[in-house]
Amino acid sequence: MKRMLVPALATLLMVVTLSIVHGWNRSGVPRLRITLTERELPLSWGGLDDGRGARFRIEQQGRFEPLDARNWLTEERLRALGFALDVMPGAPEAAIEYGRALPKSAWVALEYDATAWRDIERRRALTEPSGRPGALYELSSSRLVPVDASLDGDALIARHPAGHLVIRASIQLAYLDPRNNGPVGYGYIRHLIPDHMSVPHHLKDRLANLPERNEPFTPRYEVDVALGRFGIPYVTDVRVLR
Amino acid sequence: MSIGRRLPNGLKTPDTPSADDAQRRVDQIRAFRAELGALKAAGASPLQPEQEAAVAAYHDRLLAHLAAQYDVDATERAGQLSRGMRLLSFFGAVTLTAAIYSLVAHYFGRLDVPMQAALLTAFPLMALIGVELAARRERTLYIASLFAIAAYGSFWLALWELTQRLDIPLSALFLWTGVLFGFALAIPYGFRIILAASLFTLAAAIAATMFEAAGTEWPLVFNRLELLLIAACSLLLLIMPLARADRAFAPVVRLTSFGIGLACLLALSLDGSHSLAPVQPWTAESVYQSLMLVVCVALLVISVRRRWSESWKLTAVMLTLFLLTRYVEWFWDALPTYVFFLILAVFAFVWLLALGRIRGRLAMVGQ
Repeated sequence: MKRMLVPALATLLMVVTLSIVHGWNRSGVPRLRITLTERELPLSWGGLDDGRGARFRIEQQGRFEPLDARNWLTEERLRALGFALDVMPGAPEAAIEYGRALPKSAWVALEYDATAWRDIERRRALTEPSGRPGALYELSSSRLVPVDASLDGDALIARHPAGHLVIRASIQLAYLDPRNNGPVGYGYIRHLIPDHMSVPHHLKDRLANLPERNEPFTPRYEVDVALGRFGIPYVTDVRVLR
Repeated sequence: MSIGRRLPNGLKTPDTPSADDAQRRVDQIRAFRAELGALKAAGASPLQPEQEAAVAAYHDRLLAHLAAQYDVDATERAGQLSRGMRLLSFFGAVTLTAAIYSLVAHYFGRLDVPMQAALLTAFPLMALIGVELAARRERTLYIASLFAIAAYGSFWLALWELTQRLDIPLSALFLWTGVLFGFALAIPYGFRIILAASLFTLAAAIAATMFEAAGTEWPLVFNRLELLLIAACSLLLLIMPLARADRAFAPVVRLTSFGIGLACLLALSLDGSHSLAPVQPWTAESVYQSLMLVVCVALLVISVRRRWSESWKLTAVMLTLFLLTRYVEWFWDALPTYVFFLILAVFAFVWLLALGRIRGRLAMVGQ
């Protein structure tokens, strides 16, 4: 039976480590709290046979438009994150250099339903084709907008203590060449880390009988989110709105 | 050849013959008996009847001893059956792991987190018990290896599902628990497939840890390949220590290390954007194409001289793939289609002749 001992201990080590991280993250006072709605936390669905439990997907405004991206991921901020922007966007090798740059993991502050979101609404209203200017975007898009980024999570939380969700993300450089209204180099969020939150077992029944999504879309539930000691967000409460 | 007993804890010394050594001895005896029969039929047997009887008696005792100790295949039919059993064992392991995964996917949402964690922990532990009980009852380890692959698969399932359920990002550091599990399972029992998977995980964990330390996401280790290539080469340092545990591990280490290394070189030679080097992609491609050719030729020479049959077969396949991709990339647009395929056929003949010479050289070295 001695042969089983080390692999069994490795299994227990893995499970215990994950359990400790999970417990420690949720212990003590949360680093920040925020209440979000279905627009920011839609339910994630793994398919007909997926019975692994409900999860929320964390949605944010991508800010992929290059000039808009440079408003929040400025050159100074990108350098602070560790990107070496030694090549000018107009240089011949710029496309290759920007394309080859590895993404960086950093903390980002997502502002919730405030100035940045109003600016996006106004821009969309100006560019929306005929119909109800901006209405579609206003009711169906996440109001979490990235506004700040840093390698220091504590400093970011201190700068944005309320009305923001501070979370880790993977940030990537991109390049727009002259044929596509460039040359411009900019950064964007590849994905959030983590990009899902599990619904606690004792709260999942509240989402069991949600009404059908209506048009125009209004959120059916709101979610209290807390940021733990390890910077991993978790769900503390779910309330059905209608 | 002296036949030693297996040590009680399953670990073998360098002097202890492996099951492969025993099977090779059995194959030698069968070949000798077949040749002796042919010589007698041709009237050219050099042995007197009493000498032949003494040799036959010795071989019968040896075969009985080997069968009792190592459960070898005494006949060709038994050998075919064993190969079928190995395939079936692997198939059973994969399907058992898939069944566990499907069970989790279907029912886990009904359980709370502590119960989920308990069950995910129980799957690999139960499979480990199955490995130990099966290994004690059968020498061939077919059933034991089935449970071992299920244990390995359910360990990774547990790691993945727990990080998803607990919303903990899967860090490169967690890969090391999988490395520990895999080696601890493979070495005492002699499971070569598990060892190969663990070696691959070790190379990935080394490269992934360096990526994470540099502040970027570790899955990119499979996109920018130099660190994985270096980690694969470093696996060769484990040949001596692992061969001390079981001589059959040395070919596994070579195969895994060379396999990962050559695959990385091939990918880098095809697309220079997979390189970390601060050079133009086409420059990286040219460098890695030259390197691939040099490394393959050198490996072929070394593995023929050292009689590493698994290594030269792998290198021959990778070199063929590399030359084929070069040929397509350089000449597909430049040549008429019939000329393209004609030259390819000529290349296949030339390559067959070259491999035939290598095979002949191996046979001479074997003599």
